[in-house]
Amino acid sequence: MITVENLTREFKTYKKYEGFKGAIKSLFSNEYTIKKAVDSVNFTINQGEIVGYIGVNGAGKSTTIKMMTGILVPTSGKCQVNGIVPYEHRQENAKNIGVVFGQRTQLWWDLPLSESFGILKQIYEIPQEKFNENLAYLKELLGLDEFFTTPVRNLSLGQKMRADFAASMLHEPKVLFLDEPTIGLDIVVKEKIRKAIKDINKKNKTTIILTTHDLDDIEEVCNRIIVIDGGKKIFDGGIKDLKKNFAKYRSIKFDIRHNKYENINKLLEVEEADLIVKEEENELELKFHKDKLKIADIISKIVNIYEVRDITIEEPQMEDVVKEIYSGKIRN
Amino acid sequence: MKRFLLIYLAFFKQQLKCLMEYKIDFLMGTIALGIQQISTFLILLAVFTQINAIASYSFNEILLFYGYSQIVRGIDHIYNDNIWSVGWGKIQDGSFSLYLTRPINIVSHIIMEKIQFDGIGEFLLGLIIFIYAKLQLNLVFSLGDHLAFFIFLITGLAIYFAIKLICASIAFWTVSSGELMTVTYEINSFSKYPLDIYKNVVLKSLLIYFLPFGVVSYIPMAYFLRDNQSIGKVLGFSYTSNNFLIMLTLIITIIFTIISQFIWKLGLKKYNASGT
Repeated sequence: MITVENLTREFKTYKKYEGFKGAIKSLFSNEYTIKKAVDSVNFTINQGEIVGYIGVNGAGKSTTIKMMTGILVPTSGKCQVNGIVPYEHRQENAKNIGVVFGQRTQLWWDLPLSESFGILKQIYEIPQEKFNENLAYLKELLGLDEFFTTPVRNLSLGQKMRADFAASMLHEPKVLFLDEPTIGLDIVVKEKIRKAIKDINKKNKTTIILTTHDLDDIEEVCNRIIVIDGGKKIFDGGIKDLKKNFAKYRSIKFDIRHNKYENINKLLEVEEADLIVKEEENELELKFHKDKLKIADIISKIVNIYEVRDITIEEPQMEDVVKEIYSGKIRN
Repeated sequence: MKRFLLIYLAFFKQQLKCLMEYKIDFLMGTIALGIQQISTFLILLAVFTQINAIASYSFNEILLFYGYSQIVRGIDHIYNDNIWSVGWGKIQDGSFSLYLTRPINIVSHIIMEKIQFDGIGEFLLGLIIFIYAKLQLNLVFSLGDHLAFFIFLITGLAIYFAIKLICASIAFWTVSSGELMTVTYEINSFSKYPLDIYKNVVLKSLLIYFLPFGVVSYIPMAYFLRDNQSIGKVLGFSYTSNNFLIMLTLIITIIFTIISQFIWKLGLKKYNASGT
């Protein structure tokens, strides 16, 4: 469905000097630096997949999406959506895709939704019957009825997002690109959008690619994650693998009868960085590096010293994984 | 083509509804443009109470030039106004990206999105002045003249279109080109009057060959009012057949259309979609 091969996009930035003198200097200088926003990225996405495309701000997420939607022309490399090269056959590609930019509406400011949809119907040449069918479905799915005849400028952010989402789905695209679709939304609307994403994916086998910073979006919606950092792909796989690869720390909790405040680091012969101990009343929490310590060793040693009533082993949290990625630790 | 018209119709209906919603805005826009027009008109009138002719042009002849140039400018203003937004921020803030995700031609999409009803006043006033001057001059159009008039009108609009598109395209490199567009567009004020009244040769050839606003309104009206010799002086060379003027207009139009399309397409490749 989507193939991306060695996709690279460079941006030229002219060197700027500080201050007024600097401004004049910049005016006459021709120095520039080339920054690779996307650097030889490869992946293939099959029909029906929901792929989360994640990374820090400026990692190259939007740039990749813009190349797949035909907005940007890559510097080198190739990408194909549905067998079409988007930046070469922009219009043809546009018929097959839907795009939502969370930060920017695609609706006409002064028009009510009902009218905007009417125009989109003409632009995408949607047959009347199909239009009615899709509209009824989307209205129900996203609860558009309550603001269907209000001008877009009067809609709340949540309503606008739902409307934008519906607008991108009217022509039943085979691929849907969502660039931060839940940004700034409240929890209820977020839920609604997530449900809609899953529903549409199930109903039409729509391939969906979304970028987000919201961890719940990733966990609830995506069945595959691609992580990009500094323009390079650093991970591609399922959520479980992601956690396995990137969640270096796991945690184990002991329910204890008496506090002893032992020096557990010494006991297990590890540095403090690899084992973080938190002992509170009747509770001992150990956060440990999974490569440095074995869970069985920890338990056997602790049980020797403490009187343990219960043990809970916690799965690595998505939050920790993402923090790890975002802090740039895994780059090396 | 049918599809294009259907989309245009859909936009047009919505624009009309919006117009009703922003009645006062529309009224103010029309009145402001009207005042602007009438004041220029009054200045012309004042000048001609003192003298009989400028560079051998009578008051009514000047009016004919003025009226005709307002007709072209008015039509362009009505249908082709949104292209300004490309230079004035659409590229700067990245909202231009949206057009690239739609399955229709980008320029037509931009144009269809906004119909500038304010231009109607400009157009109507131009039309009234033109018809009045034409009657006063006893100018009678033959069938061929009508055809020539029609060709001039279309090529004139095409030239306006090309010049605006070129200026807007510059924004792909410079991020914003609104000022450039405004300055360029305002140069067309020179072409409201017959080019013979300007002494400066550079200005004359500039308005014919470089920023061909002169081709938009000077050549058409001179075609009806003047002979080959005096027009040849402005063009910088002599010719014999009157049809040559139509040919020249067509050639300049085609050249500028090609250039504008080329620069636009080159710019699209340059577009770097700022903003998230």
